[in-house]
Amino acid sequence: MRLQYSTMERMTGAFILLTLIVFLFTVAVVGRGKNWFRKHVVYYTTFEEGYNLVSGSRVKLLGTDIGSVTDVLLTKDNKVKVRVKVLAEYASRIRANSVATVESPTVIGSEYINIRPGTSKAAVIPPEGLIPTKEKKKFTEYLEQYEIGAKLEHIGKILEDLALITDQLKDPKGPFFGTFSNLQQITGTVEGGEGSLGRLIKSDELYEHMDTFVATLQETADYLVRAGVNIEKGSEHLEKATREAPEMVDKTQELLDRLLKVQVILEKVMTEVPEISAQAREGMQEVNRILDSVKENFLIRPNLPPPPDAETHGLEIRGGQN
Amino acid sequence: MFVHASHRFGRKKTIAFLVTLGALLLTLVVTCGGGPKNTLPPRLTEVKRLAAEGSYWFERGCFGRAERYFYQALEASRLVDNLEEMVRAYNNLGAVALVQDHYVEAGEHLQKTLEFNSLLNSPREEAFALGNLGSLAFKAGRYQEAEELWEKALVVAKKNPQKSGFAMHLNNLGMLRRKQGRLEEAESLFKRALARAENSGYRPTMANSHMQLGLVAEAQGDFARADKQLRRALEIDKAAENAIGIAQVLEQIGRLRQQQQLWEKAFLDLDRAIRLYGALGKTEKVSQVYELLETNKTQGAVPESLEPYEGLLVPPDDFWVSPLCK
Repeated sequence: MRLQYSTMERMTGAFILLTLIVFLFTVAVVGRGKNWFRKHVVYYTTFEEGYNLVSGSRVKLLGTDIGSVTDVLLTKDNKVKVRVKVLAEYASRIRANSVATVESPTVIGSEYINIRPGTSKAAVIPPEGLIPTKEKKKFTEYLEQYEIGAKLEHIGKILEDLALITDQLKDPKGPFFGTFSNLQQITGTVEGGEGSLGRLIKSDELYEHMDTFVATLQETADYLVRAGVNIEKGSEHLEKATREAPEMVDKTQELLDRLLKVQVILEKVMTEVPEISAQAREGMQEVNRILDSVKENFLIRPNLPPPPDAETHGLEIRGGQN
Repeated sequence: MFVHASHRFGRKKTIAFLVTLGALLLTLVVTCGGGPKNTLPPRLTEVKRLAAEGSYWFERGCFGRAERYFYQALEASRLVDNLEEMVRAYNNLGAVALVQDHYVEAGEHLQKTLEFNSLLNSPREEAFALGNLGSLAFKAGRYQEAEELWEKALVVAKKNPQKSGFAMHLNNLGMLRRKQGRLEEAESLFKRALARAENSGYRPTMANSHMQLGLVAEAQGDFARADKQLRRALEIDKAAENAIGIAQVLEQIGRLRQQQQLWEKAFLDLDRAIRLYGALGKTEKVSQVYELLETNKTQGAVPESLEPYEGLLVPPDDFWVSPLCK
């Protein structure tokens, strides 16, 4: 019996067929992208921890995707066994001295297994074999390796020393300021023409009025006595400062050495700064170019707000009652 | 019976109608969207923006910053050879140099203004340049020359009364008359200036007119009127956030209080004035108010000590920036 199809039935059939073709095509395209139709070889690795690995985590060889994690299991001896499948074409590079490590992305993304290929002399690991592993380093281990704690402590000590020295320098009763203030007092007395020495330097009257000379001499003597006391005090402070000087010099030298070390580190860091700033500048220039072209657009340009009013300024002199 | 629109008008007509409607809407959005239109080319827009930025800082008393913007505006106006903006930039550079007491520089800029303005023939810019040259002569102690220049500025400003600084020139001339002791003449000029400034709404000039009227009243011995005018000046300067104006009016109120022997009140005003001058880096004004405080201390026993003000007497170094300009 020959079946008769109506137009509606034919159209429905064609639609279903078309949907099926589209579905198959999509599966083919996606599968090709996801390597569903390529041959894989299964291996195992064992880690002390899971490191956030999940089914689907990527497996890389020298930073190139070669497979994925298919299962993460806990063993009886409290270790994490990871099942990975690797594209068969790369299986020959996974050898007895290959090492699998879990690595973290720099900024975004999730953990992945990175395999370092073995040497050509080493035997190829058979399918379902165990790839040797190396544990991922913890943050504390990095701290230990680079001695960051010790370095921070070092810097802290430098800052403490600096604070101590500045305190000593700032102390008005300290050796430096004490000496300076005494010297200042002496020079101030001379400069102001108040002291005997000042009068000798500044006043011509001493030559013209000999009758006042004796009285002035007496006054001068008094000031000299006072100045002498000040000088004595000054010399005491200087002596104290001299005693402390070698120790201070040693400390300063030590401090300078440390600062030099810090400077070397800083210089190293600073070499990267110009590159970053150049990139930022290029970015900003690009943004400016885009903005300029947007401003030039015939739809946008007339709608830009007008520039603010520029004004001419004059100077108004208020001049008060003074 | 209900009939679909496409059946009534026909499909083509409907499409044409919708397209026309869309085009109309788009035109409406393009022409009416946003605020007032900017029809200026981008570079000239930038020149005007720089000049306006300079004006902003100038009005706030941040002259170093204003000067930088005026220089940029000058350079940018040269790139597009815009004479109007070039003349304005020179005029503003002259004003900003003058206010910072850089007299040689101010004279050079103002001469350039007049030179370039001979090509532009803008009475407004000419009036401002003449007015500023008058201020320069006044600051240099050449009062006769200052008087002539301000009078000339007034004549030129009359040709273009809009925003040509007419009230400002009146105030300047009035101030000179007041200093010469011609108080009635000065008062009349200040009243004219005040009326003009109120029309234009430029508050620092309004405040100055009130302050000058207050000083005239004080010189005439009418302390009550002087107080009223000075208080009004302070109010307006405060509303305009004109920091230097506020300090100047406070100083004058302090002086008035001292004349009235109201030492306590005088101290409160002078204290605010000296601190504000200090914050603006006006060391010369600081020392003037310091002397007033010394008098206050001797006569009225307030303040008890002048020590808190001594730090303000030290001139700031080259890297100093007023906290109001940061």
